[in-house]
Amino acid sequence: MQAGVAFDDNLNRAERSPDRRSDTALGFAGSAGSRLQIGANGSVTFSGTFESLSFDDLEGLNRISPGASVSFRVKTRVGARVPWFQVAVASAFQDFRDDARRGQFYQGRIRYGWFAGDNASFTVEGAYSIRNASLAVFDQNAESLSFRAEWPLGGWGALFGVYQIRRGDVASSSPPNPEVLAQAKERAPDPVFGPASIAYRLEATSHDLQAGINSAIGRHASAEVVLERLVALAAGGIDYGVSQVRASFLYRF
Amino acid sequence: MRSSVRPLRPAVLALCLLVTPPGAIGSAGAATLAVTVRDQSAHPVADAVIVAVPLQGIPRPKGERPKEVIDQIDKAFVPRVKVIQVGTSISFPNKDNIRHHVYSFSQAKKFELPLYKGLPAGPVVFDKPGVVVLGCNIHDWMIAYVYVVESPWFGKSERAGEVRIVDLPAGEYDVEAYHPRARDAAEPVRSRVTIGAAEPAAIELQITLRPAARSSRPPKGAEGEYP
Repeated sequence: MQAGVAFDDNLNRAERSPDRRSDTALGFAGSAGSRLQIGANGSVTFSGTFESLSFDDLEGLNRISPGASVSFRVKTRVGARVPWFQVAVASAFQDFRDDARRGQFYQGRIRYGWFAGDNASFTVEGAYSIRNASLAVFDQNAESLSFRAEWPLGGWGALFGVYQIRRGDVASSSPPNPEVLAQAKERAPDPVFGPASIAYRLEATSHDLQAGINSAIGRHASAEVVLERLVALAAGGIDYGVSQVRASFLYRF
Repeated sequence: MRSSVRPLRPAVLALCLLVTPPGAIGSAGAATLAVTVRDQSAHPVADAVIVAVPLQGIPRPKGERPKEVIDQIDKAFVPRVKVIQVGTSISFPNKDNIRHHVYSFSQAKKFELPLYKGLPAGPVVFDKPGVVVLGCNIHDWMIAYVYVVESPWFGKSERAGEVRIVDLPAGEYDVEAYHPRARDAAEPVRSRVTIGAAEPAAIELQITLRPAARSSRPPKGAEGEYP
């Protein structure tokens, strides 16, 4: 189970500063599942997932997302710090309060993880995701490649950094903007961000950098704080930046 | 002269022989050695292994060696540190309702107990001195240390950093201290102590610890992208 709070300074992914809308969200996420060990080094995990987000101001973005995932993980040999592979598929129904955004989300991913000595650990991940929303402007297909590194901090926690490059659809909402309109694959009114707001579907490449720290609290819980900076570059010189701060508390049974 | 027994090579650093005042009373003809273990910040150190190695030679073991147990409870080894004499057998009952896969790749004892619930097929005999690091192949954060020593006089410190080794015959001893997080893994902290007949002794050892490299639980990893 996980509960947290997140602040996003550009929720509508607007290009121009005056058009940007920020907000804070409270979130809750949980998963429960069953792990089936396959031989000494492999396992399959079936999970039911649930996620909810509740925004302070932009209530149209509030959502609950029940879903499911299946993953297969295999270690290359017996041991604690040995390389591993994981293949996973996940799906969730994203039940936004805003009807236009409501839809199904699918993701497939493959991960490889390894360790350096007793301390650092690394993960590289490739993923492909699809979102089919009620309105085509919120449909998204995207592929991503990410790299994560983690270092322990004196036994009480860990410092981590993530870089992700993602190529695919993004939804950007702003007052009518001819430059964005010229590049948009889809567009539609988006009252979630105001009566004059238009949502555009663009193809963009985004670069996402995260730095975080997490700390074990007892034997079952941990707390985490993450800073994130994302820059998306779309055709026609259209780009936007997003900064996020997230804090969360995780409890594992 | 130092003992020729150098079975373990984990811990060390500074060591202080501070006091030798009267302490607990040992049995007739033998004494009790009280050892207090502190770290570089003078905090008591739990789970330090203390071994008294007699310079006059280690007596041959008599009778049947004890059988020991390391449980697996709530995805953790209990206890996390155990000290035994060479030849002792340990069983590894799994008291969780999930399977564990216990292994060691340590030179002193290599073994695997593949996936099991309840009791594994049989106990494991630790027949060489040294430190044996245990893991679970299913739950990578599970770790435990078995210190296998030749001397019959040993103990493990509790929360207050205290160990009492009883029934020590009179003589000279090297008192060695080990800890899984000792900064210098090459040599134990070592102190020479003379034990008189029925005379209790007390010493304080200082051991420099390095920060724990692994948490006892995996912190949240890349699994959960939130929110």
